[in-house]
Amino acid sequence: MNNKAIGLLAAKGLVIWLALSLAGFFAGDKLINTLLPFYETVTESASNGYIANIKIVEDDVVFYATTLTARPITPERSLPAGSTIQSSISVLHALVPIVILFTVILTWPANSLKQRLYLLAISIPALLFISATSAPIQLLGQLEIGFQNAALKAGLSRDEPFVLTWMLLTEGGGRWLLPALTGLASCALVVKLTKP
Amino acid sequence: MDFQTFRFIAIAAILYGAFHFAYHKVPDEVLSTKIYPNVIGHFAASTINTLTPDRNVTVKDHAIISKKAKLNIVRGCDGSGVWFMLTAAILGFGASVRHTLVGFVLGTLTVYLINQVRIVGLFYVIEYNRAWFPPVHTYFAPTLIIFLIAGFFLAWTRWCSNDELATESKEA
Repeated sequence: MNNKAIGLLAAKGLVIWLALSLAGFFAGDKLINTLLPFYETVTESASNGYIANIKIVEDDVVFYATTLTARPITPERSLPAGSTIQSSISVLHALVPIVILFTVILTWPANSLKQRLYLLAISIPALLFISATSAPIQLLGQLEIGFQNAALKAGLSRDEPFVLTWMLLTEGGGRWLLPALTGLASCALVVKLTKP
Repeated sequence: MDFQTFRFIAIAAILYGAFHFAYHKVPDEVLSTKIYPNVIGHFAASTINTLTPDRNVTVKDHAIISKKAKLNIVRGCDGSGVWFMLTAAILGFGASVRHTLVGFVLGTLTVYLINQVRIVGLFYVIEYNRAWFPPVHTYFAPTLIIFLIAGFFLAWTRWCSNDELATESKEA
């Protein structure tokens, strides 16, 4: 690839980033709305103790978690079964990994129609993968922060559950790295699959 | 996927995780009272005061303060996530020691400068229209920064390849 081609690729990437960012800003809630049942499935599978009801309220993705069994917070205190607690993140926050993933996939210099079609096809499982590993875990992580704070107030320490560790990892920048690497891996896979 | 791509992705992801866990061992107090004011705050405040002297911005611990705005620099707003990402990618690429060192130093400077522009920009956003802060802070700025850093990484990998080819042809 010569300098001119690299310059064009960078310009294409910038235009795609801008277009996707604006589309997400003005209409991203529609995409997130279609992902809500998937978020519910992931939160229920990852927590194994809640019935999940996730809705978009104004500009936020709100997670209403109803406990199936009592959840211990301290040795003396627990959240009774059937209680509903909630956490939320903004819709824009949930869109960040999606914008990064599609910026990588759409900027990738595909050299045939076949490659473009394969890229489009692979973007669906890639989208589900990064969606599963970001927003739902963050919603669960927010609930866990509430439990951790309640335990701290009682002067006790509570083991950090995996969803909280994962949330801290992704919030520190992992939710940018994950879609970037997933996009790169998807493109590399398509190149391999479409090699003559 | 070829082995080289897989190796790059695996090394970058593992290194990123290692950097993240090391960063979380640094106490909040050290970040907010020592690192943020000295490494980020004073330079950002000087920039704002140079561009707009009437703001008379001061720095108190992790906060940049003027009469109209206050911007808190908190864990994660220091560019560390992007820096870890870029460093992990540079180390995972497997270039020569010289190329890796150049990439690390220039990459660190680039991340630092981009983050300073972000901090100064966010200060003016808060001052101009507070309602614009959440979308700029959580949505537009992070995705743009990732794009810029990816551009730096692409330019660096290209320089590495060209430099190695030039060295090889000289030796031949």
